[in-house]
Amino acid sequence: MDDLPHFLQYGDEVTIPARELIYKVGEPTGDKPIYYVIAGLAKLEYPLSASSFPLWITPENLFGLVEPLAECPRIGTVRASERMILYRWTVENFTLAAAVSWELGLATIAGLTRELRILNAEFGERLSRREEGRR
Amino acid sequence: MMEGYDEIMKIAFQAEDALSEKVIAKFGRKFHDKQILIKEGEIQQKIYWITSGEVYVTRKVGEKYRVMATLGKGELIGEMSFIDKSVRSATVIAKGDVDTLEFSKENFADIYTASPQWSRRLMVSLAKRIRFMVDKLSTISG
Repeated sequence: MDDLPHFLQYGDEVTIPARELIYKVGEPTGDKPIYYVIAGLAKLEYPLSASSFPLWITPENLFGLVEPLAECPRIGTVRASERMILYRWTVENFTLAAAVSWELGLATIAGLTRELRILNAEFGERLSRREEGRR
Repeated sequence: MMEGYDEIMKIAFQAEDALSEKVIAKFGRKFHDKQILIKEGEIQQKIYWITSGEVYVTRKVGEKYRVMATLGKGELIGEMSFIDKSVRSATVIAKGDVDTLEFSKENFADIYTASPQWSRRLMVSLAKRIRFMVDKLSTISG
């Protein structure tokens, strides 16, 4: 904990108990919608037809930024799987932090790229299964 | 200094306002209807910035290409492989005539590192595509 990244100075530290809901589908994004994980584990679930698609969020990763960037209400639900220590930013402070820190900018883009790649792969697999089911 | 560096810096700092004849002569690339810009599974790392027209982002399922998204003017394509150095995750096909600026990974690294607006542009583009893909996935049963 002694060597926290300097870009966190633009955010506020919050502690979340295990199993607590952080946000859910359909909620507005609020004042400080973007989170950086210092410690603990969270589960992000996207609701799909008759199921959901989970993604696990581990330390040194961000969550909560898809919706403010895409300008929409929450499209997923996030719950703390363990006690979590997070930093949260306003969109303005996150933008400032990402502009002054290339590490944060790169980590953010790499995280979004990984998430999109996983969703693209899931889309391909679901389509393949559907095609196979029709044969 | 790398050839074309001045034009690269113009694009980095001025974005759309940098689209002069000199920039287009240096980096412009046209694609015609149904021409493939990017092929799924390949490892080449060209990045395209669409300046006019639209493209289909597709994935091969069996023998058919399924459209995952349609992208248009101002969108970047090919940036995912630049970021995570992985293979192309989709095949991108021109929908009609398409004008692009084509960057090597070195050109794009210069643009991206020179100006925070490109970092923001990338984040917004990826976020919108994640939102779109979540919508799309919710229409397919698992």
